[in-house]
Amino acid sequence: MNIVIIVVAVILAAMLGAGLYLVGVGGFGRLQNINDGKSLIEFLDAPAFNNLIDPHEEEFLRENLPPPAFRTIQRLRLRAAIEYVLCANRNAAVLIRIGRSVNSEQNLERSSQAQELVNASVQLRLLSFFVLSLLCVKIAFPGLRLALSGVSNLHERLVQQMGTVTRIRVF
Amino acid sequence: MSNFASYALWLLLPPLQGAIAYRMWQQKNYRDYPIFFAYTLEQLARFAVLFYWYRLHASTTYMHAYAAFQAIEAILQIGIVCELYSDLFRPYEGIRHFGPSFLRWASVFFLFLAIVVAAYSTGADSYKFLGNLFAFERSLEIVQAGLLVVLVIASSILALQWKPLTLGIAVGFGLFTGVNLIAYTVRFELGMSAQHPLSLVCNVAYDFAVLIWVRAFYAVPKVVPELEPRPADWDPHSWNEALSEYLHR
Repeated sequence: MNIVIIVVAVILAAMLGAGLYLVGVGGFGRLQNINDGKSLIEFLDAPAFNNLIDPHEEEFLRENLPPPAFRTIQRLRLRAAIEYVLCANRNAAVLIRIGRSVNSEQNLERSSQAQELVNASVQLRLLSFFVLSLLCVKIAFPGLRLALSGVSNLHERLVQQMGTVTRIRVF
Repeated sequence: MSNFASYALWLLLPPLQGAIAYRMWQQKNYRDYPIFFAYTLEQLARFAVLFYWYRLHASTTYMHAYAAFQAIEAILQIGIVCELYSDLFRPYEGIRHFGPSFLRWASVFFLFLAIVVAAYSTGADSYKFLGNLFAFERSLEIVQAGLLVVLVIASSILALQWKPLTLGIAVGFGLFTGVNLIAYTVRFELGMSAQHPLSLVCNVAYDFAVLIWVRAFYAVPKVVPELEPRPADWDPHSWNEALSEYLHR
């Protein structure tokens, strides 16, 4: 038991050290140029994403495919959905960086809009984390029905947040 | 030699922590970090009291004073972690309420872990007071290290921005918490034989942590260059178009 305790302590200390090191040296920097942000934003096809996690689509596939084939296809669809969520997640990080860079300027109006952008983007990061967790559970158990509606609900909120973020006119 | 080094490392702390307290007072940082300020003052008082009893060779009084200061320090250190959580989440209105939730659940989990570790371990100390003291220290370090790990993970998931001062406090705090966690665990298992080398390692780590705090408080703030003017055609089209279409259909 004592050796287990030592291992737990060393792992915890190593995680702490590595985490703080990464935050210290690899944190999100400021953008020097808006074009940096523009080039980093990735295209996200939201209707395609919605189609991938649509409960009706899933139900249709479940009814028309043999169970093994359904599970295989469902896993592939969910993996594709994860790629979309990761894309939204990366875009939110870029928007946070843009918002912070604008925040540093002296213009109050711009600064307030930028703060709004940062807040919405951080919320989007949080929502996408929850969606990713649910999608991972769903990949492990593709037959689960309840989780899918949960993903769908979260996705609705996620899309609303994305709409909020992208509708704000910062510049 | 080991005693001399420990002594030197111990004597190095008051001027450094005095400098931190002075700077915090001068820059009014105690408004943003009141618990860290209280902790710094507590460290100065602790040095004065413990050094006095140490010089008098009053080992029993020294031991009781040490234990009392450890208890105060434990409360203040947990308070500093709460301060870091609050400071990191405060600027983000939409997720501000997640900070206390993360802290609450992480505290419950790591407190449970610390209790389990304390219940299932047997120390090598024949002297019960020391055994209990190191068990307490180790449990405290488990909770602190765990809470800091959760904070770092949460900040990385949400891409939260660390203020330079907050980051400096967290890095210093994380450094000596991590080293102490390993040292107290090993000390608890090996007993008195490991006392001197581990004590020296802990002192070095703590001095480094204080140096990091001094650097954080005395660092000249960087001048952030203004962004270049907006390019005429800039708009987050690439991401927005598909969404707009979806939202308006």
